[in-house]
Parts: sequence; structure tokens; C-alpha cells
Amino acid sequence: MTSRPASGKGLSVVAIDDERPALDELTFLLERDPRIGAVQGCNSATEALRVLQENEVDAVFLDIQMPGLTGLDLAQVLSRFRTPPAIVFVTAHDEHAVAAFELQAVDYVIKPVREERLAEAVRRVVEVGGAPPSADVQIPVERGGVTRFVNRSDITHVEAQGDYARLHTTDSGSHLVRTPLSTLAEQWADAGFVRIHRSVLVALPHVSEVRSDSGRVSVVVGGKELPVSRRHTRELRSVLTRKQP
Amino acid sequence: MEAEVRALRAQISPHFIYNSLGAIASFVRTDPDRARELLLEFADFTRYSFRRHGEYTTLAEELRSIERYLKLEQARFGDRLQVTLQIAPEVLPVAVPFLCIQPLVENAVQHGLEGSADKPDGAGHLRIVARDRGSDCVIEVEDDGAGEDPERVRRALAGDAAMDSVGLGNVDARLRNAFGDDYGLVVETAPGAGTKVIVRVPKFAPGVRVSGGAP
Repeated sequence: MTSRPASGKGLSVVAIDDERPALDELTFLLERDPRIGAVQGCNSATEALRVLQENEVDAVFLDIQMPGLTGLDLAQVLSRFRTPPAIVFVTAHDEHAVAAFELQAVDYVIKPVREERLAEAVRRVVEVGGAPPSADVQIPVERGGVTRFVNRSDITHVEAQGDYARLHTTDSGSHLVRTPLSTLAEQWADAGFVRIHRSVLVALPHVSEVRSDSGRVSVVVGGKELPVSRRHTRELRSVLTRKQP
Repeated sequence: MEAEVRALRAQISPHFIYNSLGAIASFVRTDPDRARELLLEFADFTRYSFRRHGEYTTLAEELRSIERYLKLEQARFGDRLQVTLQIAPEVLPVAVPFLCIQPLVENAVQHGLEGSADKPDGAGHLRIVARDRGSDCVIEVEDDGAGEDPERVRRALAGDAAMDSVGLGNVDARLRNAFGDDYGLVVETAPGAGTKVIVRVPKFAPGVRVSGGAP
């Protein structure tokens, strides 16, 4: 199984479901994932096949039970492509799981789809594709009706604010995004973001110091000292020691 | 008979449940009012189907539940599912075995959708008719799907477990048990000709009373 990073702009994926609401939802969730650059929705396997023949696609997210060509049929056809895209089945039908993995599917996600579970599937797609789709990711942030983009590599740490998260950047700016911290923690784990507190995520590349004062640990990131909770100390320590060259 | 009803109740398709909930989850974002409406239809549909008592119900109750079911299916499949209901009001109070029409409608929806891709309008058509016929009430559930070999249908009605249609044999057995062997299911079908299932029930039958109570 190979999968190609289509460009520097994240994964190019195709979502396939014959039920309109299900396709809308899947497309919406995939578009929200910062690792994904382009999503194309198709309401049949036949339509998807056309798209796949004309475009470079890294992964397909597909339903199984569809009239005409089923998801399993399509996966079989795709496996004969010279550079087949990664396959993730998204279905309410758990009885097809064995057949799906025989077709070397990367993942099998059950409907209704949870965003965190889909993020894990994307992680697996990235993993089988080798290198992450791009070194940096642009995060859309909105303020006063204007959408701006922040480079993820410029983010020093993230703080939870209810269901929102506040991104702090190297230029001491801060931006609110409508994504819960838990989702970011999962999606950005590969980019070196680590939880140090229930409500704080730090970018390891920006950590300049780790301080320890009578058992109380803190990190300095972007010139700011942030406490590390007891619960997250061990995890941080193990991540840091792994990072040492 | 209770065992058969229980078997049928347990048969409510998990796929239907999870796909309906998936569609509702999607509408929560795109059309919250519709999501709310569908969620309530879903609640009422499952409440009726999980009902614990009453071997009989009125045709009105059974059809109301079917309408809810169809609303949920149409939310999922949109224009690919075209439904016509034609109900004579005078037969609505007739007592029928609980869940005796619902499985037939589920089969018809499945047949219709499977065939929808080959239709000029891309839709499967489903027709439900209830008529007053003298001392009987006649209910027809018809689809324009692929149809089936009549021999296979005969085996399904005979309760052949190898056949995929447990619902058909179950409904047939319960109708005969309630009203006698003259009242078994009639299935008109052939490959390429769609399927029509005809249910005939007496408007008044000794010993048949609706006792389930309105949900």
C-alpha cells in the first residue's frame, strides 16, 4: 500500500457515500482536519472511479453498501491501480470488517462517525503514506469576520477555552479557534504537540526550558512559564527523553 | 405467536438505526429543524416497534409507524425513493397483527433502492394501497425493483431458513394463524417485473381485538 503526498498542501482525499446527509457529514469532518488539503465528495463508486482515474488521490473514505458497484468492489478495483490510494471504509456494517482488511484497508470506521475516530483514521493514512503530507499546516483563524491563516509551526502553545481553543504564536499573538483542545491534541500529536495540563498543549520545538522545583515541573515556551500538571509530568518526560538525539 | 412477534421485533435492522442516526447527526449541522423532526420520528418509530404488549394493532397505527419509517428513509435517500400512499379511510380501524405490514415495506424499500440506479429518473418507486373490499380489507405493498423468481418466494413463504427473507415467512404465518389459511400472503413477482405483496384481512374476525393500546 502506497499513498502519495499530493502536494505541500495536505492530503488529497475522496469521500464516497450514496446517502447525501452521510456524505455531507463525512466531507465536512474531513475538511476540518488540518492534515487534509482537498476533499472531493462522490455519491457513487462509479463517479469516484472517474475522479480517481483523473486525479492524484492519497486516500479514499468509502461506504460499503451502495447500489451498483459496492465499496468492496471499488476497493478491489483500486487495489489494481499502480499506486493505489489508501482505503478507509466508513460504514454502519461491522460485519464486513474482515473482508475489508483482506483488501488491505488502512482503517474501518463505524457510522455514525466520531470526529476523533476519523482523525485516527487520517493518522493511519499519513502513517502508511510515509512522511507527513506537509511539513507545515496552515490553520484558519477567524476574527471579526475575516479569516486569516496561522502557520502551525509558529504556534507555541494552546489553551482550552470551553469548547474553543486559544492558539498562542511566536509573535505573542493569540487566536481563538472553534475546535476543542482534545481534538487538537489528537490531530497535532504527530507535529510535536503535547499535553502538559488538562487545558494546555505545548509545541515541543518551542520549549526552551524545563524547570523542576521540589517536584513541581514547569516548561518555558515562547518566554512564558507554564506549569505541568502532576498527571502529565511522566508523559512529558518520556516524550522529551525520546526526542533527545 | 408471541415468540414470532418477539423475533420480528428483534429484527429491526441495526443498519437502519445507525444510518438514520448518522443522517440525523448530519442534519443537526445543516438543517437543525429537520434534525429535530427526524429525531422525534425516530423515537416514535422505535417506541412502536419495541412495544411489549398486544398481538394486534389497528391498520391506522401500523401505517402511522410506516410513514415515520419512510420519512427517515427518505431523509437518507432523498429523491431516490418515491413513495405513494393510497389509503381508504374506512379501513383504518381494522385490526391487523402487530408489525404485519412494516416488514413488507422494508423489503419493498430495499428492492426499490437496489433498482433505482437503472431507472430513468434514478428512483425506486413504492406504492402502498389499502382498500375496502366487502367484508375484507386489502393492503398492497408494491415496488418496481428487480423482482424475484416466484419459486424462491414460495420457499421463503414456506419458511425456508436459507432464504434471505425471514420477514415474509413470519408475516404469512401470523396472518394464517390469526385469520385462517385463506388469508395467507399473496406475492406477485417475476425477474424484472417488480414485486407486489398482497395482504388480505377480514374487517371483523372472531377473537381478534386490538389490545395493545395507542403508543
